[in-house]
Formats: sequence, C-alpha cells, structure tokens
Amino acid sequence: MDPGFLFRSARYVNLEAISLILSFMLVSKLMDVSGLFSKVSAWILSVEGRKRVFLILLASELVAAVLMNDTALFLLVPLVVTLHRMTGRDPSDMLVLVTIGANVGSALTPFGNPQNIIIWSHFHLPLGSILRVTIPFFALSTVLLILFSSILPDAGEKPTRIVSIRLDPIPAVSAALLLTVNLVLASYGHYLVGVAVTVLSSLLVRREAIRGIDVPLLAIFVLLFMDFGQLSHILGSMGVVPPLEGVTALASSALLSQVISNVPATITLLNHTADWRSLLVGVNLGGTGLVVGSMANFITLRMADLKLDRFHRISVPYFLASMALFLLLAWIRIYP
Amino acid sequence: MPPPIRIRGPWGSPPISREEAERAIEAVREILPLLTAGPALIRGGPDGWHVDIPLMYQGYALDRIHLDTDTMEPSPKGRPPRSSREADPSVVRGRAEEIVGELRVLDATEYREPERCWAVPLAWGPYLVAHVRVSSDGKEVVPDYGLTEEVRRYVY
Repeated sequence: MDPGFLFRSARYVNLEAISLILSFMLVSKLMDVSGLFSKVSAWILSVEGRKRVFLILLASELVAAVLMNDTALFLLVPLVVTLHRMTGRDPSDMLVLVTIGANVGSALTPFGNPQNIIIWSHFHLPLGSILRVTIPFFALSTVLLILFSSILPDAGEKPTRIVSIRLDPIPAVSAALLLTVNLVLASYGHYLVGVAVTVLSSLLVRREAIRGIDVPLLAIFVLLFMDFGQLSHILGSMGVVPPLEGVTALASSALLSQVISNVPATITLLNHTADWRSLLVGVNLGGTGLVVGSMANFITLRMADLKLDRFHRISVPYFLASMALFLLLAWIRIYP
Repeated sequence: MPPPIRIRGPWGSPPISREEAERAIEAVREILPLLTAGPALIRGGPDGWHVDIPLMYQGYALDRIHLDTDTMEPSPKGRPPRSSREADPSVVRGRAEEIVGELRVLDATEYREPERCWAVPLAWGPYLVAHVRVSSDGKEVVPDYGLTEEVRRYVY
C-alpha cells in the first residue's frame, strides 16, 4: 500500500474541467425543467412519414449539442419508444441511430460532452479553433448517419397530437443566458466564477435544477481523473506510449475508447499528444461502436431494455464506416 | 411559535372553471395510452422492501405507484407496502408495464392551489394509485421533476 498514492492522484484532477462540467450540467437541467423540449417533441410528432425520422435524428444531434448527450437521450429515447408504440413497430434500430445521433451531435460544441470539455479546458482552446474541428466532424458524421437511416421504414402515416409538458419560459431563458455567460467566462479562464454564477442563478430560478445535480456522476469524473491520470503518468514514465500525432493519435484514441470508454481514453492520452484535433475527433468517433465507447450508450440500453446484439448490429458498422472515412481524411492530411 | 402561513405569489391564483377541470381530465385520458413504467425503484429498510413504479410520460416522471411484491399488485396511494422479500427487477418491470396498461382515469379532479394545477386521479381496480398533474388551463402536463431525477439516477 502506497500512502502517498491518494495525494499524488489528486494532482491529476482537472478542476477547470470539473467546474465546467458542473456548470453545463446545471444549464442543461434548467433547460430540461423548462419543458421547452416537450414542445419540440410535440411538433416533431405532428410531422408525417420520412421527414419525421430525419427530424428525430436531427433533434437528437442538436439537443445533445446544447444539453449534453446524456440529457438528450433521457428525452429522446422515450419519444422514440412512444412513437413506435403508437405505430406498433419495433423501435430498436431507431433507438440505436438516435444514440449515435446524440454522440455525434454532442461533439459539435465544446460543452456537448465531457471529453470535449476536458480537451477544451486542458489545451485552453479558443471557441473558434475548436468549432473549426467539430463542425466538419459533425457534418460528415451526419451525412453518414442519414445514409444509415435509409434502413429504417417511414415513421408512420398519421400525424400525432401530443399533450405537452408545461412550458416555463424563465428557466429556458436563464439557461440560454447562463450558457453564454459560461462560454465567455471560460474563454477568459474564469471557470470558478462561471460555476458560482450558475449555481446562484439556478438557486434563484429553479431549485429543482440544483437538486438535479448528479453528485455521484461528478465524483466519478473526479475519480476518472485520478485513476487514468495516474495510469497516463505510469505509461509515460515507462515509455510505453510514444508521443502521438495525426493518424496514430486519431486511431489510438478511437480504439482505446472502444476498450475503456471515451472519457477515460481522453484523460489517458491527454498528456501524450499535442495534436488535440486528432484526439478530439478520435474520442468522439470512439463514442459509437461498442456500447462501452460512451456512457451515454448505456442510457438507451437500460431505458428501452434494448438487447446488446441489436445495438451492435448498427452501431459497429457505423463506427467502422466513420473510422474508415476519418482515417482516410487524416492519412491524406485533409482533416483534422 | 406556530408555523407561518404560506404567502400567495404576487400574481395570486388564476381563476378556475369547470371547463378547465374537464379539459384536464380529457388531457390525461389522451396521454393514458402513452404512459410507460420506468425502472422500478427498489429500496430495502429495517421494515422491509419498498418498491415504487414511476409513471413516465415523454421521459418525465409524473407520479409513483406503490407495488406490493408479495401479491404483485399495486397498493393504494398513501399506503406504501413493506414486503418481506427482495424483488427481482426484471419480474417487477414486466408486471409494472401490465399495471400501467390497466390504469383508468377517474371522472373528477382536485385543484392544488400552491402548485397551480389540477391533480387528476388514476385508479387500478378499487384503488386510487396515482395522480397526474395538469396545468390550471387543462392543456399541459406538469411532471414531478424530483422523481424524474431519481429515476434517471437509477438508469445510470
């Protein structure tokens, strides 16, 4: 037993990333309790046929980009299940595509998922630089997702009227304002001020948002930093991991995500590469494929009681196709 | 020192009408086929096992139904059962979906002034087992956000 282990591990915790995750978690909760998304769902369900499938996939991407991928799935999985229950069809394939959509969409913004937040804060990146990498990733992945969605039948013939959740505009407006404030403060490095402003505002606007903070999940992120930060240090001191860049950085981060999930993969490889662009694309690619790639995948599995083989039947071919595409682009040095 | 009386908000309480009450009941009838059972919330305590089934709509929890795992039947609201044996989540899940499918909307509602909403009762057999809250105009459903968070943590 090494008594100094705990103290050394604590040094690996990125407080900036943890405070950003907390701030964006709260913003997401405020938006969630406003009921705004329910209005969007009601509108989506009123649209007919194939257009409805595209709208659901687009909604999974855009909601994840703003509210983080896990919240998007908590909102969209029940919508898909409800829709398929009304039309009497099996929702499995649609659920997998929605999960891929949430992972892809969350890659669009620096605050859409934990791995983006970690890379954003670790490399102190300006918003413009990160968006120049994430927008092409989002666009190409969306095209691929739409191609994959051609396997799905029409969503249904009859437009559906849905009773929506009560809309409360105050939390929605507050969330939009706090999102802007956090982005500005983070770009100047005032992460802790951002958390303080967000917590106080949430207390004033809707206390449910504060109660909605997932403390165990935050603790898991702290432990991930400690464990995988230490692992990264050990691997570095043993000389096992050479400095990564370009195709190797992209491939190793995507493949490592398939084994240990994308947030641990990000933390492990963070200090082994200066090529943050390839790391960012790699860990976001690695969120699809095997279920372990992203924690968000488990939400769909558990909420919809989806079988693992049904999930992998679509998710793995999607991962292989997108991996081939982005490796080719990296190899011919077009992107990232 | 007696407890203070709750002060009404600056805008007071909105006027209510019979039509709005009827609209609220109708809204719950409309959503009834779309209600699903969330993951069973199973807790062990010194007095036995408590199992609650969250009633879900569009990803939000509306209320919880107490389940007696000895009889695998719901227990009336206000009387959470204490079962002697631990429940199997997969068995509870299957039964929970059946119970949600057997719910019916009662033809009357109560108004909850502090929350500014109607509480429309749902019944299973002879028992009143849950309420669905509907906005005072009878048009929108009001979720239980605290319960929603509890359910989401169970999913993780």
